[in-house]
Amino acid sequence: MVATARRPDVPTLVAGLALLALGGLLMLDSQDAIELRLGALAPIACAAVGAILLASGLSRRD
Amino acid sequence: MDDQTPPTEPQSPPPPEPEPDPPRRRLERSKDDRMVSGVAGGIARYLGVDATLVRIVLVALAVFGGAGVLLYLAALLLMPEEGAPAPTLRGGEGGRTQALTVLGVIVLVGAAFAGLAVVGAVVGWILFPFAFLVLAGLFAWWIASGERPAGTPGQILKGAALGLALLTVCLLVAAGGAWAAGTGSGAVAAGIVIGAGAVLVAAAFARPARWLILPALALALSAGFVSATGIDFDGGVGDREYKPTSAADVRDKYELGIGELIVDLRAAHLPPGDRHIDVDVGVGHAVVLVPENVCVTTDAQVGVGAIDAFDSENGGIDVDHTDARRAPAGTPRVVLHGDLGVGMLDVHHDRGFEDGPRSGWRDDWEEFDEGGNAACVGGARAQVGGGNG
Repeated sequence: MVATARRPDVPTLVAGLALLALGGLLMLDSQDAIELRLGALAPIACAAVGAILLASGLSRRD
Repeated sequence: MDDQTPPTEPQSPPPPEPEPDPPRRRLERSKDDRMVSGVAGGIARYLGVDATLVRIVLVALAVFGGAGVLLYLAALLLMPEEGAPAPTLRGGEGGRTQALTVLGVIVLVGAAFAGLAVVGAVVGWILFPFAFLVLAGLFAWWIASGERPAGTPGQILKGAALGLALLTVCLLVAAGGAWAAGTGSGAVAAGIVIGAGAVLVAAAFARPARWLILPALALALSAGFVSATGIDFDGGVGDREYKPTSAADVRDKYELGIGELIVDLRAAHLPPGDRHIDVDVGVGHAVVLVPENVCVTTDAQVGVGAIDAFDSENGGIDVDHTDARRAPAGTPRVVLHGDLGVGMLDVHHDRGFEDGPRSGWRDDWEEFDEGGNAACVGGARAQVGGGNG
């Protein structure tokens, strides 16, 4: 009997990775390692939301 | 035995069968032509027009006046799914629910038009937000579950209710994340976001939990916004006004979390020399009033908003404002450090304040600021970064 690997849920995976990235930025900002400004965060946040929506849309086509 | 069969009378041809009735056109939500729930596709098929045209009309009606939202919601609840039995108005639990739904929608739409005619915007402020809330709930549930709005009106309303509950959770989580980030617990908020991300990654391989995405995203975005704009909620909520009557009463720092902060230095009788003052407001409005014989040098940052210092104004996002001035000998100088997350910082002389409203929100500072900050000599003019000033 061959065990097959479970296929990850792509939208959930993309959302998790996006949140890990955002959380990392927030942690660096809270430690004063970087100075997070809205002009930099806004496009990053938009990209994260867009990636999640894109992954959700593509997964519905499967 | 005679095998011959007796002659039979000629039979008349059977009467032609009546032609079946042409299928009745039904107004129902399309299963094939749908972007959200098939309402526009169903209407287009019923009318024999392009579905895109119906969608454009619905969006236009939603934008210009909001009627499209009510119409869409009513159609969503009243139109059956394609192939589903026609809604019944009597008999059985489902029929009663359907009848109540129809009655409710009719009452809602009637109340909307009657109310709009009678009290105009009063009802509009209640009914349209309600319709928008229902659609927002449906959209949230669609995003979270991957299920398009479908089924009976009861199932649709149940999805909307679950979506609204999810949005409420998102708002609470977002408020918590913003508060944590704005009260100095940024590391905690960041840790929670990282934890939520790790849970989602693990869930993607074990048991997908897409409903977690929206709350986790709300937490991350709210905490990120507060951190990026530099909002600091220390100092409380409300309006504060400080009017020191002597130089000794002037504080080194004035701070407020949310609200309006007025620092009136007109009666402080500042002595010659520098006086450093920090003004820190999380969300709101800060007004600093100085007498004309005091020179002001300003170094301020605003996450989202504007800085209006005498005859210099700059607004937008990530606004940096530096106006370094020198004071002649024997002249007091205020070295102002401003830090606002979201809002506006006004720095002005006292001229005109008594003539205007008590609140610092006004747009006619310019006429009083001509030649403002004249107690200074030379020095650099304002240097601005970010914003659009």
